[in-house]
Amino acid sequence: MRYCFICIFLYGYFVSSGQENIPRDVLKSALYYERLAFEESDLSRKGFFLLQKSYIYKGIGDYQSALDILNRIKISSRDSLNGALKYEKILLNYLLGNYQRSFDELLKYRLSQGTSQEGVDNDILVLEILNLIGLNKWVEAKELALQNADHLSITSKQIQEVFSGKLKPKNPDKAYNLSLFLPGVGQMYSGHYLKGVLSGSIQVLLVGFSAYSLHQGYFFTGGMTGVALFYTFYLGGARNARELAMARNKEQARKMSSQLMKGIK
Amino acid sequence: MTISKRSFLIHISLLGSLWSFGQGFSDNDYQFLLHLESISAYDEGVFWLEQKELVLGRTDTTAFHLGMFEYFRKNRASSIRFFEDVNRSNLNFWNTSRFYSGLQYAYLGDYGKANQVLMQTDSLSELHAELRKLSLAGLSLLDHNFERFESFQTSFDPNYYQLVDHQQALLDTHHVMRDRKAKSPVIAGVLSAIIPGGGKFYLGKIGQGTMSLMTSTIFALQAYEGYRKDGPKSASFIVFGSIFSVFYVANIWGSVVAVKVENVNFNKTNHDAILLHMHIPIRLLCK
Amino acid sequence: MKVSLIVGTLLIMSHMLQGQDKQRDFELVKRGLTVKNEGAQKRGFFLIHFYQKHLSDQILNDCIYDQSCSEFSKLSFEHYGFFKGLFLTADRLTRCNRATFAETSPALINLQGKVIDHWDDYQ
Repeated sequence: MRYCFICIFLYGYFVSSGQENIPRDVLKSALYYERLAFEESDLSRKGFFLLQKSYIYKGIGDYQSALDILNRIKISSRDSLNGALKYEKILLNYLLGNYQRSFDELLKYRLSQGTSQEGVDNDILVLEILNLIGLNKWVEAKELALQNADHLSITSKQIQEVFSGKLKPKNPDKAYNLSLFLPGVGQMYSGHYLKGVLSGSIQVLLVGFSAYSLHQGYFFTGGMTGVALFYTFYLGGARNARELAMARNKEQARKMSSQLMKGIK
Repeated sequence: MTISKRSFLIHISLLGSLWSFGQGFSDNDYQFLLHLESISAYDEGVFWLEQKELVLGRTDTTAFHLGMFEYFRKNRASSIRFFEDVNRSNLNFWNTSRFYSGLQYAYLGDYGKANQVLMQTDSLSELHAELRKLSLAGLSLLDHNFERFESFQTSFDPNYYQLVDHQQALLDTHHVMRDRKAKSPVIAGVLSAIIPGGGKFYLGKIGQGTMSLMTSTIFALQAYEGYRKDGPKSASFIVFGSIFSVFYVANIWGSVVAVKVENVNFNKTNHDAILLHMHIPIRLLCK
Repeated sequence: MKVSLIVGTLLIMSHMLQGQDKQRDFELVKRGLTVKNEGAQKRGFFLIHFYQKHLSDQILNDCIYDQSCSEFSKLSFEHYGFFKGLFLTADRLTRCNRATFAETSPALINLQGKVIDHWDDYQ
C-alpha cells in the first residue's frame, strides 16, 4: 500500500509539471455543459450534455479527455443517443491509435444494430476499413472497400490504386529470425536494402577480424574486440530488423489510409 | 428529430443557467465545485471560480478552492498566492490551506516561509497537531538543522497509524544524513590512479567500480598483447595503448567529478524522500 | 444584457454544431495521418551523426541515460573542448551499463526509466 502511494506520488508529483493552456471559450462551453449535466436528473439528457462536452474536447484535439467524458455517460441500451455515443467511441479510439479497442467498439455497435441490413452507415464503414488497415489486415480491408464501393462514392479503380502494393504485412518475427540466420537479410526483407548491406558487411568484417586475430595468436584482441563487437552487432542487427519491419508496416498503413481518405473526399 | 428537440431544451436551460450566473454562491454551486474536484476537472474549476470572482469578489471559499485546484495542477506559486487570501473565519479552510502552503513552499525551497506558514495553523486536533510536528521536523531536516529536528523527534507520538510510518522514515533519513562522512575528491582520485575503479569503490559504487576495472583491464590486456608480440611501434600497441590511456585518465577524472556529483545527488535523493513523507500524510489528512 | 446572453448561447451552440459534423471528423482523421518533416541536422560532428543515424540502432546495448551517450559526447566536445570532452565521453561510456542503473537512486530516474544525467552537470 505504502509503495503504491510512493509510486503514485513520485510519478505524479515530482516529474510532471506544467500544462498546456486550454482556450477560454472552450473552457467556458465545456463548463456550461458540465453544469447542465450536473443539474440534470434525467440520465438520457445528462448523457446528451456530456456528449456535447466531449465534442468540444474533440474539437481542440484532446481525444483522451473526450473519451474520458464519454466513459462517464450512463444511459439505457435503448436510448436513441446510443448510436452517436458508440460512433464517438469508435472514432476517438481510432484517433488515439487504439485500433483493436476501436474495432471491438465497432463490433459492439454492429451487435446493437441487430441483423437489419438496410441502410449501411457510411462513416462507420470508413472507420471499419481504416481500423482494418491499422490492424494490418489489408486484404480484408480491400475486400470490404470493394464490396461497398458504391456506398463510399469511390470507384473500384481508385480502391485498386489505394491497395496497389503488396497486401501482405511484413512479419517482425520473421525479420528477426532471418537476420539471425544470415545477418542483414532481415533488414532487406523489411525493405531497407542499404541498412541490410551495412549490417551484413560490418558483421562480416568483424568475423574476419576476429578470425585473423585469433589465427595470428592475438587472443585478447580477437576475443575482446572482435567477438564482443560481433556479438552486439549480431543480436542488435536482428532486433533492428524486427523494428524496421514494424515501422514499415506502420508506414504502409499510414499511406494507404491517407490515400483512401483522399479518395473518399 | 430528437436531436433538434433536445437542442431546443438545451437552449432554454442554458438561458436559465446563464441567468443564475449573476446570483450569489449557492449551495448548489458548492456541490458543483466538489463535483468538478471529484472528476479532476481542475482547469475548468479554476476558470469557473475566476468567473465567479468577477461577480462575487473573492471569498474564503473561492480563494481556498482556487488554491486547491492550482495545487492539483502543480502551479505551486499561484496556489500559494490564492491560499494567502484565505481568512481565519473558516478554521478548516484556514488550517488546510496553511498545510498545503507550507508544503508547497518546501517544494519551492523556501523553508523559512514554510515554517512561518505552518506555525500559523490554529486550534488543531491532536492528530493534526502531530501532523504539524511531523511537517516542521521534515522542514528542519530539509534545512539541515539537525538540533531542531532532534527536539521535534523526541516528542513524536507513535500512536497515530497514519503518521507512524512517515515518522520512522524521517528518522531513517535523519540517520543517513547525520552519519554521512564527506568524501574527499583527492582520495578518490588517488585510489583510482592506483587501481582503476578504486575511487568508485571508495564512493560505495561497487558495480560501477567493477565495470571501470573491467574496461581498463580489457584495453590494457590488448595493448600488452600488441607490445609483447610486435614491440612498442606496432599499430596494435599504439591504438589500444592510447585507448587505454584515455580510459585510464577518464577513470581518475570521473572519480574526482563523481564525488561532487554524488554530494548533489545525495542531497536531492534525501530531500525528495523527506518531501514525499511530508506530502503523503498532508494529502491523506487535510481535505 | 439580454442580447449578450443570447449571443453567448449562440456561441456555445456553434461549438456543438461543429462537433456533430461528420465531415469534420474525417478532417481530424486526415490530420492524424499526415507526417511532419524533421528539421535538417546541423553539420559538424560527422562521426557522431553517422553513428546516431546508422549504427546506433544496430547495436544491442541500449543507453541507460535520458541524454544518450552520443548526444552527451557531442555536447561535451562542443562546450568543453577536445580534452575534457574526450575524457568525459570515456567516463560516460564506462558508466553506461546495468550495474550503474542498479546503483542509481530512484529520484534520478525519469518516467521513461532513463537515468537523468546531462553534460552541464560536469562543469
